[in-house]
Amino acid sequence: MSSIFAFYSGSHSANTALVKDGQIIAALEEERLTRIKAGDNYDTHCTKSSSKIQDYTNLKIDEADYRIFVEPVSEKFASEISKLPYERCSHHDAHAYGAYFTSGMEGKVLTITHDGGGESSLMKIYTCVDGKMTLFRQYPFNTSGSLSHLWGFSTSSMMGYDQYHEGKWKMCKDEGKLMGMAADGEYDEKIYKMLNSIIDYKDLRFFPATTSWKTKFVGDMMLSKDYFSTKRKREIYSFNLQKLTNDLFLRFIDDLHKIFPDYKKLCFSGGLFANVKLNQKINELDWVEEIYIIPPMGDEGLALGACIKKAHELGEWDKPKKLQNVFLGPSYTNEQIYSVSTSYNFVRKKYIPSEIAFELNEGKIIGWFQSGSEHGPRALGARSILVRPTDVGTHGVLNERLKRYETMPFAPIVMSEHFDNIFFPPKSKYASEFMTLCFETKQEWIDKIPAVIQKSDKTARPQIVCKDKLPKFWEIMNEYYILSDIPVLLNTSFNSHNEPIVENPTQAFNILEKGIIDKLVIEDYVYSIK
Amino acid sequence: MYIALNDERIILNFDKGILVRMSGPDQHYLIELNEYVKNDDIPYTVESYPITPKGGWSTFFNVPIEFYGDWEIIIYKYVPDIGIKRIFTHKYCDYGKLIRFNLSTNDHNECQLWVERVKEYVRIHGCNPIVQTPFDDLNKIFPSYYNNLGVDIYKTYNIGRLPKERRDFKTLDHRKEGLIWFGNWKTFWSYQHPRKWTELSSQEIVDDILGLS
Repeated sequence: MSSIFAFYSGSHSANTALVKDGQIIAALEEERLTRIKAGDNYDTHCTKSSSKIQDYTNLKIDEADYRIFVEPVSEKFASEISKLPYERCSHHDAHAYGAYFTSGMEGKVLTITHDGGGESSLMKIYTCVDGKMTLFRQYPFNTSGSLSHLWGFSTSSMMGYDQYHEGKWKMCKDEGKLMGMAADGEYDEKIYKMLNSIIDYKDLRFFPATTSWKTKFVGDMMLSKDYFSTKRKREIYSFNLQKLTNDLFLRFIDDLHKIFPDYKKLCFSGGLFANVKLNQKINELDWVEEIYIIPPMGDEGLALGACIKKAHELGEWDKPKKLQNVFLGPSYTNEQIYSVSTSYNFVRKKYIPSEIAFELNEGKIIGWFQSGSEHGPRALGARSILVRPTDVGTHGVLNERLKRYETMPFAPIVMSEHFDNIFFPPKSKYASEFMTLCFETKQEWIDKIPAVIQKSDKTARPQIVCKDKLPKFWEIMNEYYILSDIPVLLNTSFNSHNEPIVENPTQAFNILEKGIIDKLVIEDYVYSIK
Repeated sequence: MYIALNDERIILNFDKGILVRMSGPDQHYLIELNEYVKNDDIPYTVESYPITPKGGWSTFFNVPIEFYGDWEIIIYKYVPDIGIKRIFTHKYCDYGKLIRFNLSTNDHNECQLWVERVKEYVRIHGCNPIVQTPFDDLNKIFPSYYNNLGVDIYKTYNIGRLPKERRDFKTLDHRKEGLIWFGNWKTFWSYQHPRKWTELSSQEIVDDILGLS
């Protein structure tokens, strides 16, 4: 059995992961340690994350059996991190292997990657059967179009540029704002056609190439001609961007289905699949039995994917298996936390679930810090902020407290036993444990949980919480359910404006000290301001 | 090469690298350089960026490629309510055009080998050659050298050896060192010429530059 370190230091989202004896030990994104979001910090190496993982796992890089760098690789940087020989892993192979081998899917599966480009490809398709992956097709960067670039460059054009010619909204960071606005827009034939002039689809291929420059060119021209000058105009553009994305990708998926009619389970990885609305549309296709998106679906998941690929090659990860959770960052003991807390003027009490449920039911905003930090963009119960979902005004209150300007509605967490009563369709529930796709909300629940439902299209992006996988998270939900008859809470990421999700107790305490949250549940204690 | 296209004026030059200049009623154009690779119908985009003839990003499009490729230049403009529209396409074609070959070597045998490969290029392409070498006996093989100085040259091929220590544009920064960045895009400027020029033989050098490999 082997220990495998993998690293990714591409243009954004640097990260490090460790797999030992076929088990995931750690995975950590650089942004959690630099405290600068990946989209604000290009060309960052995984220096801090590689060092931190050695600290909290007590496994040293040079003592590992394998060291792997995901393409594109900077040889100079790689030799600084690893004094010993290392291997390379294809960018899209890392995406694909990470997705398939954490899907738990049996039988015939199609695994599809799509992003803005890594090494020479921007998309790959694999057929997978019971642990064997076969490459069906790959799409070179310079002959194929990229839906990810359509989104990225639309995002950076939309709000104009600063004095350094940087987009005020950043690609790899702010695409979700457009996705959130899309639900409030409407179809506009001219804008749809303009976007369609940049990228189209035929015969399993998105084309033409260089969607990046073409989107920037059209986006900048539209910016100069006032197409983005009002919120309404931006909503309409975003609606058509989402519609075109859905239309083209669903045509592609349907064409793929014609070639592989027996493959009804789909795995996805790559930045495009951060788009929960697209994922929803794929999941709603009649012939699709199940979809799965790896929780760190963007480049932040590449090191983990490379570790898994190597473990598979070594025979130590032979079949797809399901993740228990993605709490793969550093964790902290009650003693360590208490030691940090003495620098603050806080009251500490033992955590009693029913008391916190009462506070939630009273409308209090609760910070939730447990276990290791989540790997990937979503707060899933390790670094979360919890609020009752019943107030329509919660969106505004939270945005004000957190100094955020989120247009995307906040997401619900739902007890697994109640999912089918509230959301549909009842499939791809494992994927929903990681909040990676939207679902329709059943009519009778729309008015009960308005804080977590998109007003215009009545969808939500739920996280299913299972008692056996996240017992402490499930327990607080159950206590709230007993009080309110609502098996749902609002869950948003534990961070303030423009910061990555908190990593350590100090960062969490700082948010409590500023009064952004009312109380902080951190491991077995509750902290509040004196 | 000067081309008038409705209200647009296009200057296209392959002589030293690939150069496109535009003038016209629009302030913005997107220029794309594609390469057709053997046995592949889909063109590979080598470089693409917008130009703004009245200043801004760049006032012209230039790619410092000096070797042969099956190149295609595409010019797009923005049309309101339509989006991006292709207004001009030009494929590299030197049939019947004047092509200059500068053969830089002090080794007569090597130069003679290169002359033979130039003859092969001329036979395949049907171009009119102007050949310059350090050796008079070889220059006389192509009498046009003496008759065509100062005329409009479609393309110049400089065939020779760069010093081995020269790093050229192949290393943009340390992150990309040794890296095949986006499919040989930035490092070698071509999908047909992925070989390291420092390691090539005399014949490989000339064949690489003239696309005879």
